[in-house]
Amino acid sequence: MGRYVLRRLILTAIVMLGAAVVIFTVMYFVPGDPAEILLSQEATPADVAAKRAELGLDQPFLVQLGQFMYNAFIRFDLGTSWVRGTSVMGGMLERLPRTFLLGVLTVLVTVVVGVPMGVNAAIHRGGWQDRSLMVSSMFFISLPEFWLALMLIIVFALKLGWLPSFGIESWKCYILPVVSGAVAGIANLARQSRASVLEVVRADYITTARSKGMKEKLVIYKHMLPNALIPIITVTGSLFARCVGGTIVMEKIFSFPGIGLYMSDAITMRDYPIVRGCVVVLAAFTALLMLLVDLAYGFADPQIRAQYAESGKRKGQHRKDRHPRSRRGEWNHGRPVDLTEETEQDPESKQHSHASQGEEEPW
Amino acid sequence: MVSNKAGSAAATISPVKRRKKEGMWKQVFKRLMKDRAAMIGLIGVAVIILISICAPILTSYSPEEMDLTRLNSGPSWEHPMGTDALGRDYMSRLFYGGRYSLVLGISSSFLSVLIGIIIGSIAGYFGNWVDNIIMRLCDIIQAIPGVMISIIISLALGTGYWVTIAALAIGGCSHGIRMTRAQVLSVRKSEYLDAARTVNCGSIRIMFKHILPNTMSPMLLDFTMRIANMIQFSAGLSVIGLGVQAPTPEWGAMLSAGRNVIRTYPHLVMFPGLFIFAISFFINLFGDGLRDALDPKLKK
Repeated sequence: MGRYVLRRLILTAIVMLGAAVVIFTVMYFVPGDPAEILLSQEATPADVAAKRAELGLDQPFLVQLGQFMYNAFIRFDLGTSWVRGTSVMGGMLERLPRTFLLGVLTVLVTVVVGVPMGVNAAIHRGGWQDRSLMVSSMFFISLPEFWLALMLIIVFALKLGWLPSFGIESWKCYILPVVSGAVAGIANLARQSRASVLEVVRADYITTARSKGMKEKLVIYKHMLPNALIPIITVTGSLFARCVGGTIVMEKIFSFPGIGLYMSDAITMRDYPIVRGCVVVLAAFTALLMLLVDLAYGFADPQIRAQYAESGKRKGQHRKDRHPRSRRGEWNHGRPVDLTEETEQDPESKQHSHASQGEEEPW
Repeated sequence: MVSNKAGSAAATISPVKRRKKEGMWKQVFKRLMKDRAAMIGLIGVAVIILISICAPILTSYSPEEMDLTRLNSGPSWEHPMGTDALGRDYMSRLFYGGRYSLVLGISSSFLSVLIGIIIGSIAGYFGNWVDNIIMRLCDIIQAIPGVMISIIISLALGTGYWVTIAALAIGGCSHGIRMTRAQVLSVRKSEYLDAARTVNCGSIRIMFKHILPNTMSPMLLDFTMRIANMIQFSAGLSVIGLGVQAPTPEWGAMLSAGRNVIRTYPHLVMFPGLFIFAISFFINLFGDGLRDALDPKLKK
């Protein structure tokens, strides 16, 4: 297990570095000379040249990239904002906790509401609970998140005046962002929970548990849910990644002073160091979250844990064989393998397509 | 009577022939036709497409025509969805805007799936180091939240209609690459490929004739479901100040333009959002049915 974790940690670090390189390279091609943007219109060419030298923009691309990487990953310095003149890292550290808090609250609400709804629908398969969930979830998944947010603002903030539409002064300020951020997630998670519970609902061990006279509640929470947990964890992980990584539109709408607003303000002011820094940090965060989701599989499923432990011992085999999910099908004892996924055989991509589901969702 | 008997006898004798007539797509289509929700979705999408194609017939105003006596007026008999800040009829703008939004959704989704198919099948088919490099690159790109990729690409390419399509397509292609690769891997060991190789098929022919048709159904599904997401994505980009911008009557751009006056004229935000919601809902409904139709095992 330790070895597996170590290997994944190293891979995650490489992914982070690679993401930073990609981000820097794309941002390098953003049109407009930063020195000219910074200086006023009357600046002479000499001034511009001096400014370019000061910012290090006269260096070749590779040198700039190397400097950026060194500063970002060794000194944890993401540069200085052009407009504000403050450290990007400082600005982010100030705002990141707020975005996290919002993300955690949203995911908490999503899980607390979504999972029981899905389980309930699966147990009463074909009943009114099930049908109403399937119809309403389709409705809510299709709702554009930011439009829902705007509609909620119109109704609750402007017409009724019950809730504030911006700021973070009191707990009331969090209600609208959390609700509008959670609705699509709840629908998504409920559908996923329903599907994965349906996979286990007819398994032999459920029949056994029932036939030995176990209470229905215990059957559900001790036997069904733990076995249906993997896809639920995946969706939850990607929801959290989306809440933090895709928060920019929501924060702009609610003027919520988190990392998203910081970034969208920077886009408006063409303050590219901030944009670059935010994207790098959010990418690192997403990579870490993917790692955590993978490790959480180990805690949720002893079969996978055993496979992790094994992967440390057996070296030299093809990676695919060592991968935790590759053998799940064989060990599933007649339980169909992951029906909610595309018919993929490569375990690695299956895991990632799970983890990337959040990306597919609208913001 | 006799001929009838002969007919049924022929049918039982040559089941192979009968099967050949009913190809996979025909079966899928049949299953789809039986799915009521999917049909509602399909009809809804068709209606929205028709509305945007027939916009000149359905509305009596041009989307550019300004009426300076009625700025920002709310819904009325003359202007069922009101007018915008320049006194243009909002309904006709929304109807015409459907063209932009639908073309944006469809083409960015198509491009993104196409990139996915090309790169993914290269990775899956050639394997080894080609696969390794492409997959590691995908790892890296997937670590960057999809929103952020689209943002930095549209920063680099600038705002505008076609640029936004490109940004959205590139931002979403890594998922398609992974999916195609997995699909190709899953059919790569099939016997019919061995057979094809034995009769000396070239790589390209094997890829296009034997592998890709067998990996099509998830791609088709991905393409369908993605259209709605792309329209919503682009609306999000417009809100941040990137993507398609104001003079273009695109739903997302109109929504984001109306956002500034939400306190006074909520109808400017409400209607474009309703259209985006409607198209997403119908596409999702149809896509859900399509998923079941493509893989009936899923729907137990």
